[in-house]
Amino acid sequence: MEFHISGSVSGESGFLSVIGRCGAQPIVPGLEFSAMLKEKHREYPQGLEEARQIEECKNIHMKVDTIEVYGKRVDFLPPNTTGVLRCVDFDGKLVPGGWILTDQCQSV
Amino acid sequence: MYDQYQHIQLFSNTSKYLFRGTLPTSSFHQPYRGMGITPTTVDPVVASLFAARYLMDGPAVVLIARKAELADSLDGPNLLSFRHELAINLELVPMQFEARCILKVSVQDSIQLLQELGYAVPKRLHDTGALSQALLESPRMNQEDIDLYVERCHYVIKGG
Repeated sequence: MEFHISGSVSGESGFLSVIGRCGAQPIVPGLEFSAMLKEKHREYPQGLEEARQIEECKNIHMKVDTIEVYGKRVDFLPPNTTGVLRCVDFDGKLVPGGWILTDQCQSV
Repeated sequence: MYDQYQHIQLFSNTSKYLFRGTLPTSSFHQPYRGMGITPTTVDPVVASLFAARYLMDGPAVVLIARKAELADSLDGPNLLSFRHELAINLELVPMQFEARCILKVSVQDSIQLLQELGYAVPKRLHDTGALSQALLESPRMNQEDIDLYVERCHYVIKGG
């Protein structure tokens, strides 16, 4: 389960809004992320045909409270779809674009 | 966070077609349970990148529809940070969009045609990170080349 971060905004009633794209598995409210990883850059176009390599991984914590897609609140975020996750229980820091939220740290 | 106008501007411009890279409806084994919105794009490179990602799950295709025939289904908005995907979201389920398409080409044919027109696109994308990076770094097509691409898709489907 992964969410590819484009950017994040805080300050809305204590929520952290994380903008990005869902990975291969759908995301539902209540789901908790416990790690954040960054992939090594791959050269366009042929390098992107190769499997990814992890550059860095950090432990974090945040819980998905609600999900928005195309400006509407939804029950789940489908794979490969862009959307906004309104998260709670986070450590107060914004999460940077280019990183990936996931459920456990993967070896580098 | 949202861009209320991009899809309206894209819908009003001179381009004649909408493109969607996906799996054909016939390849799904479970009933559709999405939100009734079908994202499309005005750029065949973007659609082909999505198809290259879906190729990991099945026989991915690029669907082509006439924009003017879908004016009644225009929805939105887009997220500002994904402006580069040139998306037009339609208030249709994907099955309805597929039924209203004029052409369906395989991802392999689509990428080959793009290469012939000078647009380099990865042949497959194994993960969402590769898709995200490819969407940011790929070239966007000019209108003349888009029309040529659609013309050549017609030719490929007729067995040329």
